Amino acid sequence: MIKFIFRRLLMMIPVLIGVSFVIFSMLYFAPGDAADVILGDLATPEDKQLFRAEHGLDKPFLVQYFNYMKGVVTEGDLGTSYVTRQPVTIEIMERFPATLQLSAMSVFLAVVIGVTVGIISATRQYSFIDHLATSLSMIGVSMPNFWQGMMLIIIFSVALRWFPPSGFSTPMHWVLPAVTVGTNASANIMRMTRSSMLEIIRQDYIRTARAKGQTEAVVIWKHALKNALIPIITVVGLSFGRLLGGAVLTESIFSIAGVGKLMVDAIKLKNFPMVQGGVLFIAFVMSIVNLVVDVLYSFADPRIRSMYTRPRTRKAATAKEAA
Amino acid sequence: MSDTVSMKKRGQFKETWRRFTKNKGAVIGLGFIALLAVCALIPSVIAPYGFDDQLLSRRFQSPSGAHLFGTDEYGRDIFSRVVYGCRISLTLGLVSVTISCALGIVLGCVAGYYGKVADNVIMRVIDVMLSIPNILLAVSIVAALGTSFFNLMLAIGIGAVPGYARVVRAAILSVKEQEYIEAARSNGASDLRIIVSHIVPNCMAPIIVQATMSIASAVLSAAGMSFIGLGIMPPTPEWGSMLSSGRAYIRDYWYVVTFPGLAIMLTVFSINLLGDGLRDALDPRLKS
Amino acid sequence: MSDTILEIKDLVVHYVTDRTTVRAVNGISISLERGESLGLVGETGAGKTTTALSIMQLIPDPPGRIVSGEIRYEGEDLVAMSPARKREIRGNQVSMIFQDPMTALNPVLTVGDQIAEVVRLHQKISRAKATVKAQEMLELVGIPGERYPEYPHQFSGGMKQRVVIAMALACDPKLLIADEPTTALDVTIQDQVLDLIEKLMTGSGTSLILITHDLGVVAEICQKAAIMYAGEIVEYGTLPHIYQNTQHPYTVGLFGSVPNLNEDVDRLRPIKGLMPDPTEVPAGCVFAPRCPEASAECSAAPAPVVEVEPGHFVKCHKRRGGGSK
Repeated sequence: MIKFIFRRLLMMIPVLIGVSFVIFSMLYFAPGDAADVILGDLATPEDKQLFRAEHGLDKPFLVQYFNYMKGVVTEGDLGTSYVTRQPVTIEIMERFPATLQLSAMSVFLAVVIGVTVGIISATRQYSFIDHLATSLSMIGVSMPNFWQGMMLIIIFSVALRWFPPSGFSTPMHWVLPAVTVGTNASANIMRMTRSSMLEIIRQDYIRTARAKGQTEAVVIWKHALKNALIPIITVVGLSFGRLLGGAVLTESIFSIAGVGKLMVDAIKLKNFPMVQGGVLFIAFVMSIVNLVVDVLYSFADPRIRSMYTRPRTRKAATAKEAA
Repeated sequence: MSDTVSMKKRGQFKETWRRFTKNKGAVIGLGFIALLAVCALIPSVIAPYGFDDQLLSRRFQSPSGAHLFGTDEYGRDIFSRVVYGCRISLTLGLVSVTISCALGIVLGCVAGYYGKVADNVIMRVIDVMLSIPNILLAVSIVAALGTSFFNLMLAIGIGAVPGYARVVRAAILSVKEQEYIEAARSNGASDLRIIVSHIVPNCMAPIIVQATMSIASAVLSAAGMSFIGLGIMPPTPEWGSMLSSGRAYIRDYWYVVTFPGLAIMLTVFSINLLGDGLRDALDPRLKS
Repeated sequence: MSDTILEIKDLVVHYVTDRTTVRAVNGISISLERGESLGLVGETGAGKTTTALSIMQLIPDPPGRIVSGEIRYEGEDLVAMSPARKREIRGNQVSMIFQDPMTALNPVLTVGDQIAEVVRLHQKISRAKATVKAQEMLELVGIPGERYPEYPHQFSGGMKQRVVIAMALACDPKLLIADEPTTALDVTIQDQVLDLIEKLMTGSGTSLILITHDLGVVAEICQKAAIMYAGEIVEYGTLPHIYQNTQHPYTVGLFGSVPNLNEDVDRLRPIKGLMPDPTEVPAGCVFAPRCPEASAECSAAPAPVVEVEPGHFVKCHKRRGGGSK
């Protein structure tokens, strides 16, 4: 297992190099010169030349890319923010806890709602509850995340005054952002859970479980759900990506000082090192999420597990110890 | 011979249409999209005001008979702006999907049909694209190319390429080894001819479904991009940018952001309904 | 040994979809004594599996529905029983071996746990004791007990079917239904599995319903046979009745289409035609369209059930005057 994780970590490297190259080259060829942006119109050409030399911006493209990557790999240096003159890495790390907290709470909410409703929907296919749940989930995937956030603010902050409309300091502040991102992501999870459960409850082994005289609850929540975990884990992993993207906008709606808001602000100010560092950082986080998803697969499915664990020596079963 | 083929095709179409119309949601979706299309084609007939008619004395009017959705901070009629916005959103959805469809099909075909090195290279590039959240990829592209309507469509289109490439590649892999492909090859058909006349028609169903669904996500992404100021700039009545400029006033004037957002939601919702209906109608096996 | 364990009366099962009604089982009646074994024979689609699932009360609903009839297990009607009582009986007193062992086992649970589950459900014993019992069951079907913690994908098809058999017999059922237990297996494994079932059945007092399309297997294992065709039982009796005094033209056809070592024929004689579409069952005798003996009356009215000799029933117009031959 350790070997497998190590191999997957190695496989992340080319992907991250690819991402960094794509992002770096796009922003390199972007119109607008960093020196113009930072120093403003009043700076003399000499000043600008000095600025470029100082930041290595006068070197050829590949040299610049190589220097950038050298910094990233050796010191975790993602460059310097044009605006604050702070290292990008430090700014991101300062903001990351809020983003991580929002994501974690949202994923939790999304999984609990999505899986529960998905299973209820699948076991009562075509009932009123099923129709209601599928319609709601369809509406959920059709709503722009940030608009949903604004609607929640209008209803629950402005009209009802239940929750504060912005900030992320106390649990009361967490509710609206987490609900915004979480319910949005739960719609996808619900749809996936429902469709895979529908397929699974028609499988022969579910009939076998019923033929044993097992109660319907155990049949569904043990025999069927264990098999549905694979597609559910996949969609949770995918939602995490969407969720990070959604968090970018949601953070700025609720004025949460997270990586997303940092990036939106950077985009507006054409603070390219920040944008570049942020995208690279998020791609890195997503690679980690994908790795976790792959590892979780192996816990959910013995067939996958046996692909990369050595066949266990047939030890006397646990039963013999128990007896 | 060709008669029987066309007859069979018509029969297939009829059967698909029958399955499609049985799905109430899909028909409602199609109806609403037709309505949007009318708005997009003749907005000036439907909208009571121009999209940029400002009347500062009538700022922030609540919804009423005169202004169905109220007015915004410049006294512009929100309903009219929403109607004019249809054209932008639908154009954007269709063009960006055309871009991603074309790129994705070519990449998917090459990867799936030629395999080996081509497949490896293309799939690794796609892995790279998939590890950047769509909205951030679009952000980077627009940041690099500059903000314009076309760049926005291109950025959103490129973000959706991996989806198509994967669908097409999978479809090709599943039909590639079928005997009729072997037969065509033994008859001396060229690769291009085999791909165009034998393989592509066989993966049309998943592509159509994927295309429909990605129009929906394109509309969503575009709204998000405009919202953070990288999409369509005011005063163009784009729904996302209406939300962006209305955002400052949500504490006092709920209708400024409610209606453009509803327009986005209903549009995306109907496209999704349509996509679901198409999927079930085109390929009953995929039905969940 | 003469009390009745299972009695099916006029069972009718339909599968109703939005456009069609499939008449899978059309008024069949069977009775089975304790310790007796019955072969249920027929082509694919004759309604054999539906009959079995009706006894288990596992007809998928929707679309399936038991329209009418009774299934009396030890006098109690399974159809009218409460779900809780059904669960008490299922897997404990009545159990079933399914057709396809490849899909009958849950891929994410160990085989041992799957056997122990049924034991724990019906016998009030500790987890550890259930585990021991499951290992004993594995040994009984010829699998080393230490393979308890392995998963189904680590077993071959024949082994999986052994596991399914172990699961079905773990609670010493009074009635076992085996639904084509060997069809999905390699020919070489088929005999082993049948021998195993036969061995485990003898002396256990368990009644057996063996579903198959193979008359040879029935001759080997069963005492009684029921021949099903298009949702009906067309001939029903003891083995000597069916094998030596074959009455129904369909049964005759079935024997004709089986190769026989003692007879030297140039070709097998398949039954001409196909089974009727179960959505449009013919008005008269269901077999009339394919029957070599059919006449006008056959397609006019449903065939009557005739008792040609004590305990030997035939559903045929032509046998109304008693048995032929």
